[in-house]
Amino acid sequence: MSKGKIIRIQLEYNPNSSSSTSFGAGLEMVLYLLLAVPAGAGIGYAATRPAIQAQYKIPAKLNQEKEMALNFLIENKRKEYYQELKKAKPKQITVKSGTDLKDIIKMVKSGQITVTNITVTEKK
Amino acid sequence: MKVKTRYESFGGIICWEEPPALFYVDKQFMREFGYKDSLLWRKRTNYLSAPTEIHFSITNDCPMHCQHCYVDSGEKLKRELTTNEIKKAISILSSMQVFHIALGGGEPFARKDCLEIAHYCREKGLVPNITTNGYYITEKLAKECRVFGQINVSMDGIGEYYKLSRGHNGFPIADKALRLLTKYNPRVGINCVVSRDNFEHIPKLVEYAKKLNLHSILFLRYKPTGRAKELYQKRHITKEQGIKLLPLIIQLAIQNSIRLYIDCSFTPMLYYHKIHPKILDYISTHGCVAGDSLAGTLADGRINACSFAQGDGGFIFSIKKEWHSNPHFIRFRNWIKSAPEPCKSCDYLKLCRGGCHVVSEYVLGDFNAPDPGCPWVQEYNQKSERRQYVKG
Repeated sequence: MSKGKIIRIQLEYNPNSSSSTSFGAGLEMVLYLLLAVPAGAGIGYAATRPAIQAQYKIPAKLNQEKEMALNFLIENKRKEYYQELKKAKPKQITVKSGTDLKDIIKMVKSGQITVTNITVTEKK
Repeated sequence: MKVKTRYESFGGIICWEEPPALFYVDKQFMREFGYKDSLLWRKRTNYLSAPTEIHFSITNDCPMHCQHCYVDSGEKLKRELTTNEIKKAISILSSMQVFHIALGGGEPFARKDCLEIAHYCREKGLVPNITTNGYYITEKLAKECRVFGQINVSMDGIGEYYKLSRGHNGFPIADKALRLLTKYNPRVGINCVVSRDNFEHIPKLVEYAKKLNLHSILFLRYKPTGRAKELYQKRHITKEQGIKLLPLIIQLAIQNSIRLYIDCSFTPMLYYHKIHPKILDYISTHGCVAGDSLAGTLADGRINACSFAQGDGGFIFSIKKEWHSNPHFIRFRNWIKSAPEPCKSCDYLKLCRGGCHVVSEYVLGDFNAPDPGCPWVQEYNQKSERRQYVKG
């Protein structure tokens, strides 16, 4: 097993006259690398910790930096998911096990999204 | 996948081309990567053996005459480097194992040898990137731009906002260039100089970039150099806008699934939100990296610690020596050692390195002063003033 350490990652080219750092989608890419998620894999909408960890075989115990990175990633994915839900105004949502139903129900109740039916495909 | 590696005192840097990334790794990682121990590993230095990237202004010539041009471009300099001299400079940078080169100007495509220079960079193992105003972009040139790693077009806003910022109606030119470039190149983005006048317009620009399927937008802080000095006091963003910047771009990046960057001089505004320093360090979210991983070259061959910095860093042909011994570079990289308050006690000192010294030097007349645009510095100064008032 490798004992060598990556101290720092700097992603993307900098076409400009001063150094730069990326956020949003760029940061997410860094997090993929940080968490050893295969590049280009894309994380599905079941944006919960157990689902992501299981899907990409991320160990249960993480060090502090990776813990923060994972939480940040989950939070971003959730926001993205809810934004899409708001736009789509779906009649029905099929939710995979592990999805945070509480938040969806909260959004339905507050009128942010309109859903007539929520189906859970698998039980936890 | 092309991989390049170079030794550093801490281990080494591994450069990937796809996806573009630099990995700073320790000695053990280098050994496991198949590299023998280096003599460099016996030294303890606080800076890199060479820049990772060079910003190379290849001409001062520019047809656009933007009112906030940071290098006061328009006419060619009296003595600009010739094609052969630029190639000689690139060979030197290649021998130093510099990874990336950012070609700029003026308008770099005003030089007829711009593509020849870019191909020479590739030949020598450097990835050429470029910033252009779009003026010379045609269908043919757009196709030939595949040689670049990334191409950014300068645009501070759409329509009237472009004009408001740059003082002329160059939006149709930049818009056309972006549409042509994206037809043939995967990494095309926008460089947007953020001022208090276009701050509220940022979401519209992001929507526009999304619509054109651009790779990214880089938001640059308004810096008081070149012609931008004259308008600096009217244009630089307010403290409130600085604080709003990070939440705004994260929200926009998530909503639009687009990469949004900020430049190094915006980092004090970012640190204000107290993201854990360790994670920021891990993803290279550093403040002033002038003279550390970065150096700039002017069209006449003079070099400096960053392309906005004033001062004499020597000449490009002697960069190997200047990098290690010229006081201009040392001044930047040693700033932390004599950092004044409130930077001295700040948790982000090692990351931030005092914010943008170019701004400090212009606004306060003191290179060493903390960045006056940092929200924490502003709060510290307000408290100090109050204390003095009470004492008085």
